[in-house]
Amino acid sequence: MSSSVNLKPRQTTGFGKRLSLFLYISYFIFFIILIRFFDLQIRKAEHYLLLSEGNTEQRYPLIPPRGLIYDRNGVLLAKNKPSYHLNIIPAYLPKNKKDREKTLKLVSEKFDIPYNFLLNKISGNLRSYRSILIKESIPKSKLLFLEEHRQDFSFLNAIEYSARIYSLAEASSHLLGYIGIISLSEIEQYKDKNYRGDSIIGKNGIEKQYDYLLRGVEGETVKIVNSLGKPIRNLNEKGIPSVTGKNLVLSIDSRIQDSAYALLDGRKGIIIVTKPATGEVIAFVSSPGFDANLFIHPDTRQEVFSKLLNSEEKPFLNRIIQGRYPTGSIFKIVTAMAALEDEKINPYEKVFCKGYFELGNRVFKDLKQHGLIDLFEAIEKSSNTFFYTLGYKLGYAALLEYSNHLGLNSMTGIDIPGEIASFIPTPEWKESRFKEQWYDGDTVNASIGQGFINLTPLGAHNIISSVAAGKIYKYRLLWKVKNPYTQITEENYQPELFNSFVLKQKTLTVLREALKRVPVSGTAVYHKYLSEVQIAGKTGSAQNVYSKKTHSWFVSYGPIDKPLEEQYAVTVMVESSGHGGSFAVPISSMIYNLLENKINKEQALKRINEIFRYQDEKYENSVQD
Amino acid sequence: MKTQFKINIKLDFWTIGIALALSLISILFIYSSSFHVPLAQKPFIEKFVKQIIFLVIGLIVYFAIANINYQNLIAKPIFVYGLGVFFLLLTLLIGTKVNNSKSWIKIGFISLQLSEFSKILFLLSFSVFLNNYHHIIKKLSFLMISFFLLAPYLGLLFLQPDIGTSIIFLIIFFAMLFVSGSNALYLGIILGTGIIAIFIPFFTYYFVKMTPTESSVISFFNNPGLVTLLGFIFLAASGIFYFIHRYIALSKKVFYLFLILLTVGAGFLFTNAVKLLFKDYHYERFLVFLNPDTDRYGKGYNIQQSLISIGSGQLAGQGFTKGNQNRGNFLPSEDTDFIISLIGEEWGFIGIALIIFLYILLIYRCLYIAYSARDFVSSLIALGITSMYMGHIMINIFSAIGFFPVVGVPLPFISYGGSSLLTNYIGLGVLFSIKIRRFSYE
Repeated sequence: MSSSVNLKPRQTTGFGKRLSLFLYISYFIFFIILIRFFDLQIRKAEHYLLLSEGNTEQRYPLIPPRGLIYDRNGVLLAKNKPSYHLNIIPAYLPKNKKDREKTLKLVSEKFDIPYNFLLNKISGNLRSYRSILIKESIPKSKLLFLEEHRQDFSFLNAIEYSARIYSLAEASSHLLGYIGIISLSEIEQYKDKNYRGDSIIGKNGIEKQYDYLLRGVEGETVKIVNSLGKPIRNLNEKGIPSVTGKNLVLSIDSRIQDSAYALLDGRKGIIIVTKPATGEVIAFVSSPGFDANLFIHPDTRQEVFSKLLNSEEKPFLNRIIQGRYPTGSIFKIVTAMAALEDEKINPYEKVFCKGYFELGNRVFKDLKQHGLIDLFEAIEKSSNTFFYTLGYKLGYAALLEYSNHLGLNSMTGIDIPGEIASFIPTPEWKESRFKEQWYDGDTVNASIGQGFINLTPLGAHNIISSVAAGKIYKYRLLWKVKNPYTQITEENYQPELFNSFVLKQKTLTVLREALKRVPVSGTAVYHKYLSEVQIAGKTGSAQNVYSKKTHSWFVSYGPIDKPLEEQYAVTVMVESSGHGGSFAVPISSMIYNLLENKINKEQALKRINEIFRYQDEKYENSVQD
Repeated sequence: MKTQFKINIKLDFWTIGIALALSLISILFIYSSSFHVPLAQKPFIEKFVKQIIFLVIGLIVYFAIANINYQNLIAKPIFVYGLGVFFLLLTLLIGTKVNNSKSWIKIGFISLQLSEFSKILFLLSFSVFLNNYHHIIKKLSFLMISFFLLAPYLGLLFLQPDIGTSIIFLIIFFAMLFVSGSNALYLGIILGTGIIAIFIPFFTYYFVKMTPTESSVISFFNNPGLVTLLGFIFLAASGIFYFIHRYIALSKKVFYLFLILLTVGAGFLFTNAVKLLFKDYHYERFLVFLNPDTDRYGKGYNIQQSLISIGSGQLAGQGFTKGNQNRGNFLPSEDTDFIISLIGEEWGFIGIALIIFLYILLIYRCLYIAYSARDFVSSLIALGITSMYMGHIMINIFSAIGFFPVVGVPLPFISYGGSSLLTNYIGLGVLFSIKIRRFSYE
């Protein structure tokens, strides 16, 4: 290359002009810049100032502990267990890829989390200061481990939340229900009740019925955060404290609830124990149940749930209020009641029962020929023939009338969600359903509780409650609401009548006497051998389409030698098991023993197991029912 | 020696004074930007400390270069040119990938961005070239050769890819060509062609993404075959008009038509090549630049936060280290791409005006040195350095205020970065060397 020719700058054409042009263009650029800054900082300052502050405030909900549920004696049925979720904050992980991977491998190993899962969770979020959930419900040992090695795991934190523990597990499953995260349809349903997208809500049972009491009031804490979600400062003055949920006191006796469930031993069936004088529910057992405690473990939750949903035992079905069953001979009480109230029968008048009842060219069979019996004996021995005759004489309208008085065509209104009404057929119904008129034969069937009659067990319980007290009190589980901070009772419920129906004293005397004889010398005589408690009741063996074996019913009340206030009404039904006397009665006897503190749960269980083994072997021989 | 020192202090006040003032502001704000960074994230040596160290090194280099006769720097232009290319090649070979591009070389805990130094090396050698071939500077062929000289640099930069530095190179290149006297018309056409060639793919992408139904215009542009065909047609048409203008009737209108058709035609032809150069995320960034709402928490986030920072500074700012955005660490790249936004937030319009004022003084001073240099080549070098500063200032601030997509160009003397700071002080050193040798002919 030739050596540099030393040209003077000004010699070259237009050099000065072009240089000046460069300068002016530069001035122009600076000018534009200043104008823009002026625009942003002076003219639009408000706008941007607002935006910069909008970046900063973040509200976090404060979720209060859920209210506790107690039984009548102060025993905890549902309580909260603090559990911990494990979260990771990616921004605090080592920046270097190798170190980061090493760290994550360590986390994976120490906390039992799959490594790929971790990678997945943090990918794309490496700069974020927001906590990302990596494991729900870590065991206490891991929590302690984390605490001890805080400085090694500064990018992890454990967030506390409350899980529900049900002390009676399966025994209280239908009573208490369970909680879960609110679903989309529930959010829609409870639009005005301030649930958030991840709120916990009761799904069924008491948890659902009284969710509005148990959930308390959410508070709020306000912090200043940066755009990546990292909190910088608390704004305590803007926060709202949360209010803990109310504590509930139920009329349930946990000892009875627990033992009763055990007595059923997983068979399909129910046990109801109430106080006829007030409507207090002492035990509310539907079997089989489910263990809601398993629902809190996220690893097992899905599995457990699907298994339960698909089980043919239908453990989610609350048989007490959602199952409808033929009652069999239990219904004879209603027939007798109708006859006595309307004074259409002399209870001492003897009628000849030849073992069958003829109607036109139909023959209604009885299991046994009882000969000349009066009403008392008919009930005691549960004579079908007697009641066929009586029912035919009364006519269906009367049966319908007293069924309605007893609330058998409607719901009992107990404070648990999901109840369905019992079913008593009417001629209109039969007409529209089967396109057939109501025949006398239907009346005859109805008088002994067969045919289309399908009652919920709680509905059936009305029958015995009315005899025990002369009237029916509304069943109620929740009796007291307590303030969780002060323990002061804020709400104290009083007994309420179900309806205005009151039985005549004359009727009651007869019915009570008749029912008294059943466990002494009648179809429930088994009771005598199992319990000293004096009771009155009626057995039932309902034929059903599901099995050759009948549903085994026994409704009763007692101890009858004590004043009404101290009496209990008990309804036991075991599906497809056999005669009322064989299964429902022994269970009821044990219930009374437990109620009167004559035995404990283990003894009751032992006795029942012996009996049932015997019964299952002896199914073929049956006592008339 | 002693007298020279005296002269140094006396004559050098402006440039070094401004540079020091800017460097001081730089250190202050780098400190502020790391003020709210959580402890766990703070590097072993704080950034502002590193910046101070580089400042000291920069000053040493400055004085060293100022004492060297810059003539020595341009004695072997081919070597200088080659060194510049070598630096870029080296970066490609042993550089580490940061944010999608291989622009840095890591040695221990120091990162070097060699492309910064390549700028000076290129402009030094290019000045010599412009000077030596000045006699043919008006010719088209000269322009072509100039492009070929630039090509290796641009090419290697595009391979990294470092779009920002490429733009700076283009600015320096065009500024030097223009001021040195090359044919303005030719430059204009080439610029026009380039702009059209680049804009077509970017705007097509934008419209495809932003309009719900694809209009026929856009589908046309998406079809490379059609575009090329139309390009040839335009070129042919322009040829006809040129012929008319040249041989039939001399007319300004015809001439302009010729120019336009030529530019557009060439642009259409080149656009296909240009499409290959850019990657998807470049198009994304352009889209986000035009419409920041499309990716508010991704790429649009940066510019949103920058504007918020600037705007909320108002007249006098929110106070040193007290900026809302700063406290929340909302503003990304606070110490590099968006340091001007941080200054805008904490020192307000007054702070910005101060810095702009300082920059204006700097540019004026540099141009004065260029104007009063003793020979052509030194003027060109001075101009080259000035355009380097101006290019950085313009692109960086334009990005921060939303006038240009963010391409990661540092603000001279203010942005955090050792290589950038060193390069700037080297530039000052060369300028100073040029200035003091204005009258001496040693």
